Amino acid sequence: MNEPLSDAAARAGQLLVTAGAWLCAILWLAPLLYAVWASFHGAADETRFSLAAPWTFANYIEAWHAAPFGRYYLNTIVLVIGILIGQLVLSTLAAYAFAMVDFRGSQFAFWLVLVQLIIAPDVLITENYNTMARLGLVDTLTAIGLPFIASAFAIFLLRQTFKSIPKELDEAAELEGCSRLQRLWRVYVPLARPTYVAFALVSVSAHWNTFLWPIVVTNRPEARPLTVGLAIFAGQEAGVSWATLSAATMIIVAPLLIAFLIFQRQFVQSFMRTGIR
Amino acid sequence: MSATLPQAPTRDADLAESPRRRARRATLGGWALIAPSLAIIFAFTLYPIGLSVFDSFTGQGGKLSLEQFSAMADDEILHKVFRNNIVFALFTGPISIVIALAMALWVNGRIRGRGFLRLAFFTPTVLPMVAAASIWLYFYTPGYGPIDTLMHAIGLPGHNWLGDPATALPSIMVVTIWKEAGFFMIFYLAGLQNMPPELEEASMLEGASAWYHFRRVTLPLLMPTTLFVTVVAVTTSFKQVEHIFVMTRGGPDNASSLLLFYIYKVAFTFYDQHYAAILTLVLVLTLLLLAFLQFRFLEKRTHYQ
Amino acid sequence: MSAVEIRDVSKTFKGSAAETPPALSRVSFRAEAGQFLALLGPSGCGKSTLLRIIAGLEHADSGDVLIGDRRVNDVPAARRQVAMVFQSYALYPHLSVAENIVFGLKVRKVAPEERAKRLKNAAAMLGLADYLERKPSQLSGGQRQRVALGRAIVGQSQIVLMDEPLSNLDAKLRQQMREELRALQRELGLTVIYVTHDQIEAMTMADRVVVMRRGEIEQCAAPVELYQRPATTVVAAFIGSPPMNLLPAVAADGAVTLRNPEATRLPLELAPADAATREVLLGVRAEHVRLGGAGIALAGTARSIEYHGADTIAGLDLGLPDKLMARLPGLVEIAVGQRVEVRIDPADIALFSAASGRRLERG
Repeated sequence: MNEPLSDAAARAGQLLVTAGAWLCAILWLAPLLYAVWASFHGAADETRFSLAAPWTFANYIEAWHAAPFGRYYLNTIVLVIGILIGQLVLSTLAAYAFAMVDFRGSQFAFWLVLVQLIIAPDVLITENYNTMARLGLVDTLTAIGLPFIASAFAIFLLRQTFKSIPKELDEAAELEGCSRLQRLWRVYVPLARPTYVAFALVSVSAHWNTFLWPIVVTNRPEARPLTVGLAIFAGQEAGVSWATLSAATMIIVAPLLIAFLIFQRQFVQSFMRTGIR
Repeated sequence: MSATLPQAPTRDADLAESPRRRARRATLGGWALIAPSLAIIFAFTLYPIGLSVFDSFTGQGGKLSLEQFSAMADDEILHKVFRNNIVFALFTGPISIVIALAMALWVNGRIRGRGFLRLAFFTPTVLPMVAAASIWLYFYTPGYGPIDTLMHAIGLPGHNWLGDPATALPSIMVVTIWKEAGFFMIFYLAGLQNMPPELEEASMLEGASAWYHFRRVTLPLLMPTTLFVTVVAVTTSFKQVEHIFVMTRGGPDNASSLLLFYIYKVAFTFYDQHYAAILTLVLVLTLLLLAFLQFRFLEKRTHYQ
Repeated sequence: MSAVEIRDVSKTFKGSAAETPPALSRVSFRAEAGQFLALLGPSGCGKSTLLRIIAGLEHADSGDVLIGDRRVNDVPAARRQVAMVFQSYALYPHLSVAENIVFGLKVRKVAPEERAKRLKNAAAMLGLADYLERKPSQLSGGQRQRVALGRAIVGQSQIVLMDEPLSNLDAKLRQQMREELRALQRELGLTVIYVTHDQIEAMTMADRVVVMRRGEIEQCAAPVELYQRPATTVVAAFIGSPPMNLLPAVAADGAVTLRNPEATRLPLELAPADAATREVLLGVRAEHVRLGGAGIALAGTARSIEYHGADTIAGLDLGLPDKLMARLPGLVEIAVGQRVEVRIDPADIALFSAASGRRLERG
């Protein structure tokens, strides 16, 4: 029994699916695209979507002067890099220990580490604020970053990766006379590079966007990162025009977006890789 | 007197270590390597949890008491806020996941412009929630915000989305879903790409329709991803508050407030650190319970390849 | 009525290069009902593509695919009623062996009692009765292969396609499975189309073999014919171990002169149809190269001696680009570097055109 209609039906179905997907994609991009549009146009042209509407940088200039975005940028960059370096060092050491060293109490210690996967430090705001206050670290970047320098996520990922590296490579290095730390540095770390890259992207994204903890532990703009800066800017008593706000938003979002556009595949692959447990 | 030279130790004995010494060295070394990480985790995760437990069982005077618990029982706002959070988690999670799965199927399939689709779906994830909230804050502006403008254009009345207790929380949920779906899509993409393509061909030859194959093969094999993504979704719904900060500040009348935001207000606006401690404990226990439940429920139905 | 027929099928994959060679060029053959037909060739010859076209997983650009005399080009794979065993078995990892086997029966809504009956028969036939509740990850390679077979036969389709099903098994298991597969096919009267790159598999299992290369059919014949009367140099070199010797020579004036230093002359005549051919390849099987006896004499230096127990394979340097391989019985007292004389009976010689590789008719 031949089905001459099956091909046509299949094609129609495929067309519907494609249309649905594209509709959803445009819907998904619309808010951001609109914000981009509004940021480059005067308040009058906000909703006039014609190509003739004049483009302007005025919003950006006004936004930049309205709040110390330069300082916010610096803070965020320093914060994110500092946290990442700390995480890489500490987690590499810990992951190596958990993966390759058979020591008493390692299982117990690992469970303790896993607690941080479920209960993140920025959920325990009162207690950690008090700790920072006692250490005299309130209003410092250190206070924002310190709780995150230990990353249960990184330890978990790296442990997994280290375990999957063939033992023969380690043994060969051992025969060449390398100490444990040398082997870690020469064998395990280089082979775990994809995991490091993936984690770095995830960590930078996460801490670029961190909000609650910074706002709890800082009071003055000198120590605040971009996210807090934007929230304060948006929530001002006097209100702020959408033109300026959209420009401010774009200022904050631009580096991430551009980096994402360029490194799309690495971004996506990183998130994919870290999700596969 | 026969003088026998003491036997020179053989090279083996020289370099050998008793197993016990080796084990002890390993233990010391192991703990040394994990010490920095463990110290931080102890200081900023374990110790605070312990503190909040301690604070929960002590009254104002520092003595053992259960007055915190009765305070909680009387706190109407706490109940409301907790309910909000549960509703929030219950809806944003599954909805984001279903959308994410659809997105993953679209991007994985043979549709034109897959790269663009993937970009479009994932871009909201890259934005900081603060930025997303700012954008949507404007979108929801009553009267002349884009959403109301659109509604006017098709003849429907506008609405005070963020100001109406009935729509405040759902409006925030929309923003969360918009931001999270693309993120979960990535994990489903990974899951889909891990599946051997011959399975689909085998199903075709067995006469199964695409839907049958999806329901009986693809979906079950994606269970590990679903488990992971659900855990992330639920955890995030208890941890993320910047949308509230930017869009509603918890109002109107706590209609859109969530547990962590309430803790923030109690601790830093009302300066009741003591009460905040027990609220934190509630949050911690909720997170632990949810993680446990999800693992039990979904783990049973999960097959790992 | 044939079970499967391919007529003039061509297919080119759209590649990035402007000139992508076709995967299949006007391929035609028939598989009769109950026949075991092997598609044999090196990788890239198009055999797997052809199998997938028969299954309906790929579409031919031109030509006809007929199953039971019915043109099925536009029939979707789900409705062609062919079963397939994949190289990687394609078992559902989350289902048990039993569920894997009856998957198709459930799809087609076969009644539970019938399902159970067929499952039991298949399990008994394949020795899977003890493993029905296990998951594929808990099985060995050979067991997984049987499950894939079980799934194929339980649907009771008369045509079973197999894509290199034994390639993932170790040598010993492969031999055992060869016998079992053949026995199964005979018992159930199945038409099997079997893709392989292993000429031993094809020769030992198949009723007919289709030898393919670069998208074209070189020869379609029974194993005996392929061995004794190869139609092209490709077939001659592919079948048999060691492959047939192909020595360059020139045909002129009713004789064939070898291109060795001695310019050995062989009294071989070409049939009138092929008389014009000049450059030829002289084909002779290793077992037809003898020490002593009647026939044309050739002398060469022994370059390799391999003692295999029942026979010895000697490689002789005749001053030609390739060694002459000789299969000599038992143990042979020849040393490497020694000058050896061998004899070839002209009746054992086949002639091929050097240009086209086609077999030439003898006069």
